[in-house]
Amino acid sequence: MSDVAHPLTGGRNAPALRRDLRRDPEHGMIAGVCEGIGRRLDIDPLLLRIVFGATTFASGLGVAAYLLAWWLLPVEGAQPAAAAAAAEQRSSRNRRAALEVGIGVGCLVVSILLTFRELGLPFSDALTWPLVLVAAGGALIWRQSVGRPGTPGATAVATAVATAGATPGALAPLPLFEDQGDSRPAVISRIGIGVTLVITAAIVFLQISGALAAASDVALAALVVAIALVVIFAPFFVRLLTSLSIERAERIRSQERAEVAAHLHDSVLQTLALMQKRADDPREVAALARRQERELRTWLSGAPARADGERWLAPALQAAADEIEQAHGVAIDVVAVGDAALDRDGEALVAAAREAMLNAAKFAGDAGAVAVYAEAGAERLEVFVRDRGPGFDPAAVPADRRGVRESIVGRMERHGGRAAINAAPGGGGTEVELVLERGEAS
Amino acid sequence: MRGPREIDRLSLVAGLVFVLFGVVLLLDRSDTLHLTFGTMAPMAFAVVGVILLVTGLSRRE
Repeated sequence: MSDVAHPLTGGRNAPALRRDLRRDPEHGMIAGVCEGIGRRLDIDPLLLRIVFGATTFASGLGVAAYLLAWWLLPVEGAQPAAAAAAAEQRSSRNRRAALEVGIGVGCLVVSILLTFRELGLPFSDALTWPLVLVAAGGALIWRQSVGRPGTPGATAVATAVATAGATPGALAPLPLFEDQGDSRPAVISRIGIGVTLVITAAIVFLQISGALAAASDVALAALVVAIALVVIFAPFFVRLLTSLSIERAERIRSQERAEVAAHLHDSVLQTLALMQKRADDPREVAALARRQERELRTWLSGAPARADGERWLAPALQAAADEIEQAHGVAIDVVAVGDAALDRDGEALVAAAREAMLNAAKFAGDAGAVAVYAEAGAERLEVFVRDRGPGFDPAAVPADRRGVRESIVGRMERHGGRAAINAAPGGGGTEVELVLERGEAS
Repeated sequence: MRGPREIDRLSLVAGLVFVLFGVVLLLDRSDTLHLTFGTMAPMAFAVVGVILLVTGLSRRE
């Protein structure tokens, strides 16, 4: 396959992205199926369009195959730069996967039932279809009430329905159904479909077995009794729900208070004690205070720890800055706009930035804080490291000093990026500019 | 992320299923098999079901 850069995938990342078959509606004629398959197979999409067209006129299979591909293939898109976008993409991907697995299993079950029917096996419709409906409805309700493993629980759909017309906050939700990150209408409609399926199954069974007519009188009596019971017990039930909600809210508040107290004890109080011990070293005290401030800000922002082992630009730069700050006692301010997962080239960028920070801390540490600004855009990653030191003449650096020449400039060039040193002797400070094109072939 | 030499499970299964489907249609054309709606319908459901199932399982993280 050629490695021609594509406007969406980009050349450098193209081999990784091209393994995933995707449709490209932006460049395609209808839904971008032929465009996506053609790119994946490195053939002209026009040929695929001819094949689809010919099979459409020949037997109609082309339309079916195209529609199937339209449904199955994900849409081509730019790689999300921010962590939130990546998490949303993963979540959406998992939801779609669960839907596909569910529909796939349903199709297979229908296929087996139809096969049994064709073979003449003794399966009665009065039993089979109600069972299928009950299984589908029960699965929907069960999935919503039990929840998927690892999902946090809390939103009560039943109570949400009950409180829909109530004053906000008058009745807190109860954990009757798990919150799986879905919107409330989606959860309610899922429960509604499940309940409808189960009731339909019961009615179908009663109708086919001829018991529906006989059961109508009994059902009416049961309905009247049920209404009477609801009228009698509704106030008690509402009071019970209210007291349970209040108790639950108090328990949550108490747990949150305990968690905050534990965190303050483990981090802030320990740091304050350490600062008292090192009161004679202002640099050390400042470094401790800055580290604690960063840790506290991260905790307050609720940024989740990445468990997938993948390294990202902003945390990697921050970690490098922390390490150098700790080793040299020089304040390093890191500001990052956007974020991006690091591949080999990205790691080289971080390593070059670390070297620039190290040089700034070594040679310009007395002139104040070092500033690091990183920006992760869709097309390029940029990092600027600035200090207010005495500056230097890059051309005058001896040949045997490899720090700037090899660890920064050479490293960036080897990985398809570039580095520029803006410095001059005389106290103007130094700025190291590192740029890595994300769509550039390496 | 899959490795460079790893097989794309979805493409493999979808390809095999369609090949199998095509063979069955060919056998029908050559009168070796006699396909009716009663036999085609479960087969079509099975094809769609298998593809969806494999797609969903491959997509899941």
